[in-house]
Amino acid sequence: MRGLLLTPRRWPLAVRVPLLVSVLVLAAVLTVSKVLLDKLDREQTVQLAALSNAYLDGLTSALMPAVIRKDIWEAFDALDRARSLYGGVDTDWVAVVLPDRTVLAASDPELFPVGRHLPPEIDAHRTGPTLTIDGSSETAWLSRPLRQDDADVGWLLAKIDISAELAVWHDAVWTLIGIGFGLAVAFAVCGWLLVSRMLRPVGILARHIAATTELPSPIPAEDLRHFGAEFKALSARFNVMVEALREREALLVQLAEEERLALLGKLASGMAHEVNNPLGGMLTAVDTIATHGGAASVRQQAVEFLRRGLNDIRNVVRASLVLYKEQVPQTSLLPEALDDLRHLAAPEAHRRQVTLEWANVLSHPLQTDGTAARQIVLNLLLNAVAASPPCGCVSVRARFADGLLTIEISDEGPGLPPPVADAIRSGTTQSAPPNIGLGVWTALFLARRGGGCIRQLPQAHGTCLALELPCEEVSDAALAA
Amino acid sequence: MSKLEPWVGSGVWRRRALLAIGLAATGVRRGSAAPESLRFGLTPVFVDSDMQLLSALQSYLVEVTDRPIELVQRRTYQEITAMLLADQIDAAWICGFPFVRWRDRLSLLAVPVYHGHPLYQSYLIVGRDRAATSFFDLKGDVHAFSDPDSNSGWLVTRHLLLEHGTTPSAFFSRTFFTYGHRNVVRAVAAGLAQSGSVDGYVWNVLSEREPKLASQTRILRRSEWLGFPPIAVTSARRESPDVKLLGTALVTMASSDKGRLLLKMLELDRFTTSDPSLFDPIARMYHDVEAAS
Repeated sequence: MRGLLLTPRRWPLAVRVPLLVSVLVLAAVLTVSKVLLDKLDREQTVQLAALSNAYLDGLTSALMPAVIRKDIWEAFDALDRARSLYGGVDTDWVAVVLPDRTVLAASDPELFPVGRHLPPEIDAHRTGPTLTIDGSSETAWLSRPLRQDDADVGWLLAKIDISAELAVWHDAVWTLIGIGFGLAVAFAVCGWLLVSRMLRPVGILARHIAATTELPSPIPAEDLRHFGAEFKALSARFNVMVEALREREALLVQLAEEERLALLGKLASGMAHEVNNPLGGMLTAVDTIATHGGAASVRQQAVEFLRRGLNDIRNVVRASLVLYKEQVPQTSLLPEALDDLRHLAAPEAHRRQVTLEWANVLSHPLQTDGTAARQIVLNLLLNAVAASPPCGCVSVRARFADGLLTIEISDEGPGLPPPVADAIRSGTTQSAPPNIGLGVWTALFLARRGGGCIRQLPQAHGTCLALELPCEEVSDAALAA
Repeated sequence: MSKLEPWVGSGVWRRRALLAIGLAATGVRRGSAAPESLRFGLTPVFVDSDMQLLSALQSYLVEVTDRPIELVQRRTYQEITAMLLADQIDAAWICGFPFVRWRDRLSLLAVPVYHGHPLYQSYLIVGRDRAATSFFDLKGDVHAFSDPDSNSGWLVTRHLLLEHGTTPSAFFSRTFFTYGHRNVVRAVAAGLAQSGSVDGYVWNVLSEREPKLASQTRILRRSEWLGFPPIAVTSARRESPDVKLLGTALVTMASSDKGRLLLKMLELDRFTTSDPSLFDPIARMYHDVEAAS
């Protein structure tokens, strides 16, 4: 979850698009705000300069006679009257300084007494530019030399409060920031609503794709009512694709069934072969008995031969019974039913001179699809027998522990072909990959359908495949019922 | 109080006589097709910045004299005094100092009566919060005078310094004239000057009308009682009908509602006639200062 939050690329589209729009809107508003504020700043500076010049012009004309005469009262009176006349200029103080740097008069005489020198830090502004803005202290300094006939008769120095102008600027800043963030939030909310609405078909499509673990389900027509033309076309294509997948699945199942029947046919032919062989010997034995039955030793040999042949036939019949039973779907796997597979595979093993080692330690029936489990084991077993060299050994070990049925089939063959190994490693079941037998694919399919899997276990020689099926033991009460 | 009686001709019979003379003069003028304006000069010996007061004064004089009245104001006492001496104005409300300076050419037309007497004082004022307790604490001050021709706003303080053997330039660090008693109060209140010489009557009026301004100052020293700034005319025209008409209007001010309203605005009791000896103390100060100079 934390990784999701820290990775915007993984955020939902319904979140990313509004956020992107908001960021763009905010960037646009901030850019426009910057331009406007710069312009406002320039306009305010120009306006303040114009106002300051008008103020200084008016004061200069009013003060000049008094300054020339060094008339303290007239200078003060002019400054005092100017305070009410120039309402647009909020002066902290104004001072008239004589050429000897002493104060002739000031609007605040207690701050700048008559005849005193200005403090150096203030006097420094006297010879500065006409307007000096000090934003940190929200003040501006005005300076104007007073000249008569090209002679300096004094200076006019003023400190004015520009907090009102800066307040306008700050108000504009906060207003623009407020508008920017307001628009960004509004666009984010509206964008989220709109994009969510626009992406609703995608959500429906995604839900149908992820509706089942096996196959996607088609989108019902009633869900398409509010879709736009593009999504309607997309959904139609999706439904066609789903239908095609379903048909393919059905075809695969059919192919699997045919494969199973083919295997059965193969088994049947093998069984017929196994039955036919003892039958030939048995008929010969019968003829021997009929011809030489008088001889006890010959008869005894013929009878023994008949017994062995009948035993072989009985084994084959047992295998047939097992095969017949598999036609009936089973909801449980009996330990004995698993053992029957040994007999089914025995003829093929015998034919290929392969030894079967059987270690079935199951003690109770298990709640799982017994037919499928037997089909899987039989397929893997026959493949193992087929892959084993003559005089080789194929071992089957079945056990149940911690809710998991594990049946391992190992052989001494050359190993799995790469396509088969890949198919087992990837657990591919959606379609039968090329270059692998249908038996393997069927086993994979059935294992996946049962909620389990087939894994290849490491082994020094040959191949070891393990079928793992999650299941529970059938309780004794259920058995009694 | 009895000391003041000889200076004040306040008898009822006298006011009535003056009024009769004034009315007679008015009747003569009424015969003219275009009556000539009477020009009345004003100085800041009162609160001359009060436009309502000026309007009421003009209205009263027009009504009583039945003549156009032109109130003439200038920045300095000197200008008004010069206009009076040059007969450019018929009469002027000037200070006692120019009156005594030009005593040989000027005559009294009327004298205001303030709080029962035609007298007033000069105040030395300082900032409200200043710790000064005596005149000597003002040494080194920037001091504001009212006018170089003002008794209360210059001569009294100058004479006080003379009595202590010093001069304004020596005692104070710097001095300047504001050309108005109200301006002296403004200068001290604003801190432009640490102390000031001001007309006591004007300061008292300001303390009632503009308490916010006057309360920023306080009185450090009051002078002795001196002759209130008079309405003066040139001696040559003292008996002219126009001058008599003005004089009658002034001394009869308290006899009409409009006049009483005007007196209330001026915060004066009335106008009266007086003997020039009322200004002898000012004359002595003037002569002392002149002698020292």
